[in-house]
Amino acid sequence: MKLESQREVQNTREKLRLLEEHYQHKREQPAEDEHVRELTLRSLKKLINQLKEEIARYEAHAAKPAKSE
Amino acid sequence: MIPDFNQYGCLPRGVYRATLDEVEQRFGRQSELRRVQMASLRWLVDLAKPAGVRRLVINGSFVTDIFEPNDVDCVLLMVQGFPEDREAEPDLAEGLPFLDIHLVDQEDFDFFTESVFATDRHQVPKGMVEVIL
Repeated sequence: MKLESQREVQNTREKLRLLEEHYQHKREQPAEDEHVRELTLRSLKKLINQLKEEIARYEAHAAKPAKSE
Repeated sequence: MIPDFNQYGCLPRGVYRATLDEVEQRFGRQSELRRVQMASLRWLVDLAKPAGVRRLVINGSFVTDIFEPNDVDCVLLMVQGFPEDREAEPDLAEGLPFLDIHLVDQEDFDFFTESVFATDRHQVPKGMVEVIL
């Protein structure tokens, strides 16, 4: 997915915040099955990293100075 | 039954149950890329069943009207004692071509399908497809 506007970035940041809160909460909870929890945490982390990359790509592109003629 | 796309090219809000053949009919034949993504999805189902995956939901551009989707986002529900077949787990955990696989417990399955994947980047509600295993 490629972010294309500031509004999309804001929405993605909000999703990222929810995911990070949830990840932290999950890490602190006792697990019924440690293996299942480990795989779940890995999935959450993967998605968190994907969203961070998308935001960073947008910001890197937005910060790039315009080419002079 | 999988409904028509809305004006944004997405499914309307909800999780729609469908067989793998129905998924192929609707999403897996429109382009060469979709055909190979569909083949990966069939491979995933073949691994998920013996591993003991209870539910499989497809999200992302594959279930939209985009001609060539980036990938197929898949949320797989695991339960206590997963995997039933240990040989199936490495491929599931390490991934398959074109598939973005999320193996999660019940709490996170609900979190993904009711919150994280329930809206698009504009926060417009969108639908997903559950493959009947």
